[in-house]
Amino acid sequence: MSALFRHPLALIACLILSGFAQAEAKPAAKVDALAVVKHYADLGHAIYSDAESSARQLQIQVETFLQAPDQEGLIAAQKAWQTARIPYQQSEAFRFGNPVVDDWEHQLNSWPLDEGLIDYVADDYFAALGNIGGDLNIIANARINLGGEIIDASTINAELLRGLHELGGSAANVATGYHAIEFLLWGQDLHGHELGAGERPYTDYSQGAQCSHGNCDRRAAYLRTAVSILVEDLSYMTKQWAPNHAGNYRSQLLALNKQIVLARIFNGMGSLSLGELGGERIKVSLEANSTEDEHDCFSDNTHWSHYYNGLGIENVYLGRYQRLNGDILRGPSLSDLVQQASPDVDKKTRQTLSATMASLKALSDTAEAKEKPMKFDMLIAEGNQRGEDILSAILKDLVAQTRAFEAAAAAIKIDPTATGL
Amino acid sequence: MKLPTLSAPQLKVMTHSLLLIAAIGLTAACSPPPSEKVLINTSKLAILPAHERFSLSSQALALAADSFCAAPSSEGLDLVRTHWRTTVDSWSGVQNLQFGPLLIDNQAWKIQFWPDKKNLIARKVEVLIRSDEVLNEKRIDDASVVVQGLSSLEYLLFDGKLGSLKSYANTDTSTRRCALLVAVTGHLHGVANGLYDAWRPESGNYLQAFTKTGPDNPEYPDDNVALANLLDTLVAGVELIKRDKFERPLGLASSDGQAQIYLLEWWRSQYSREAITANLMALKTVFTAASGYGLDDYLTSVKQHSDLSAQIQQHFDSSLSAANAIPNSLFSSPAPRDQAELIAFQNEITTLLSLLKSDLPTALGISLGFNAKDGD
Repeated sequence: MSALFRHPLALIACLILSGFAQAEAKPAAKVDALAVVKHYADLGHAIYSDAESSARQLQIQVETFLQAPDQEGLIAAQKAWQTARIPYQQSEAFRFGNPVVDDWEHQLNSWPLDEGLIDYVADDYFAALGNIGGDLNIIANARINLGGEIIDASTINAELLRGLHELGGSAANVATGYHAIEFLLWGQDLHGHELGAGERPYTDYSQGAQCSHGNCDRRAAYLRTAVSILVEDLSYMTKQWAPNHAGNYRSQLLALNKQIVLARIFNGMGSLSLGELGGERIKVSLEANSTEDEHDCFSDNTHWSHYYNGLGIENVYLGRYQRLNGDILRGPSLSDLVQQASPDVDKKTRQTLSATMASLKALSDTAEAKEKPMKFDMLIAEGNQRGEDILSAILKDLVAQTRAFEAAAAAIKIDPTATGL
Repeated sequence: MKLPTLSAPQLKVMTHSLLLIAAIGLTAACSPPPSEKVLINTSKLAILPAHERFSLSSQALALAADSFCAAPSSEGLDLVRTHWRTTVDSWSGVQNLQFGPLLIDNQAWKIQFWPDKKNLIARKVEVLIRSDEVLNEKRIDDASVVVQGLSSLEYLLFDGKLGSLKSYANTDTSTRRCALLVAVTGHLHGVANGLYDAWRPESGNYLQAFTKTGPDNPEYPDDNVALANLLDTLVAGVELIKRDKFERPLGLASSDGQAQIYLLEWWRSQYSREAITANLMALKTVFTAASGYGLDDYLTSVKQHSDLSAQIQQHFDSSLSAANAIPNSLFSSPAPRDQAELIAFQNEITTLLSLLKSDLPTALGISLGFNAKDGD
């Protein structure tokens, strides 16, 4: 397996250029693969630490809200959820390629969901075809009848919710994670392609006579439990990336052949860019004009989720991450490695990443505009040319950046599919 | 300027060399290098004919829909359904291409929307039928892809509730249902024909772009970039069959997997297995360039991997036999894990994928790219 090159011209160019670069550069300044891999693990640790700490903040806000439900408390909890999404969405650049993340993330970020599994829904709600869990309404039912099998759901706790997650093997049965919590905080978005997100009343959590839609005690227990599961899951992942933890994923990663780790890094960036963000999260909803395929459909936070996915990918390439407290982490990066091999390929790759970020910023600017904001669910409406233009530009940039990753990987002789998995 | 004097033997050597160079030049002009030959043969003998078949079958489908709607009858409906199946077969020969006109402006989505987890097709089609909007090809083209193409037609022709003859006769919506059927088949033919045109030398001539690589060709600076697309097509195609058309919907992806039968491709028409065999035949044709000089010959004559070449062909054949041996439609398989034929097919397709994904790139010296199905 001496040479698996998809872009031979780029390679030839880079070999020639690297000859020059090596002649000029001081050996001491040279970044090596080991340094890049270590810094990648440091980035992972910082990002998951932020995801965990922001989930703990969410837990505090939710607890305060549940102690004395009012509109202010609900909004504070919603804001905390939105903040918690910022690091988590950036962390998704670590998902594909790293089995420890990919095998775990469905507990946290599974979507789209059949929310009728969890709570009350409007009359025109549709569950996924053939989903036995689509209308179970766990909050309203202390006993759940699954075609004869009775599940005791009288106590809502982590064991119950983890057990009901992906019930019947259906990915639409999302009992836990960010989107289950999002639904519990916002409720269904009944505005379709019009402006407006879910409008769950805070009284859904009021205990006693003020309780709306019934079962407020069980709803509160559900929300509290779902948030504590999220914190527990993120805490597990932070430990997987922490330094000096014998046997954790970081230590396994650092023990691997560096070529394989670099392939995993590229794999994570490319798969999130093309198949996941570009495909599942943007193209499906745009082409089908389907609000049900919108990522953060209850809260209308989708533009930020996409923006931070894009930023997360750029972070990994540049070896950079701005923490929630504002600190900036920098270190040896893939960009440095590629630059040493081929300044041209590196420059092109950085340009495609900047272009994507500019397109994603156009999306978030449009969604957050003071005058006539257009949220993602409005942009994907049939006949919305402006929305189609904005989203098609992002898709085009994501394809271009994926092709740039292939060239960048080839420049440093990495096959991004050779992840050792 | 004084020319160096050359001795007679020197002159003789030089003449021979010149002749040799001329001869090489001539050979090159008559017969392109092997990699280019693969590109030319694969496009002319596999890809172009596949597009032609898709265009023609979608045209026959549109004509059958016209006739049926002029005078709805049970025979007429059967004929439309038969042409729909033929069109799915021919689409299955184009579906897996990972490059070219199919990928421009998401043409594939206009042809097929799958999986449709939330039954959007039924919902959006019924909303459109019950609206008072004009139903013509332009309206379909402007609409969500969910109401376009073969998936929407599958709903109109095969849905257990509304895809029967009585929906097309004597109901308050039958006229509009037929108008939609005609508009969607016409629109589909337009898309299919557009793809064929984009490839044809007489029209868009993507064939030229794909086969005449070089520094002046921005998409294909050299043959390996184009060959990599053929490789991606084979791998992505077999991967899609194994994972999305078979293991996931049947719950065979893991030991405790549960069937998600509505994730099957073409579940409404129970045509899932047939589409898989059509895919496999088409992918084998891409590998062999039909009877021309394909990747199979290139592996043998240039890369000295005749064993791998033969193995891949054998496993295409045995995967096809295994698929054909499955007795019932995938949709009606009661307990997939207990069906020997299903497990046999799973084993075959797994081996084929491993040959294409692990051994073939190494043998060709080309790495796989990211594909659009890499998400979850």
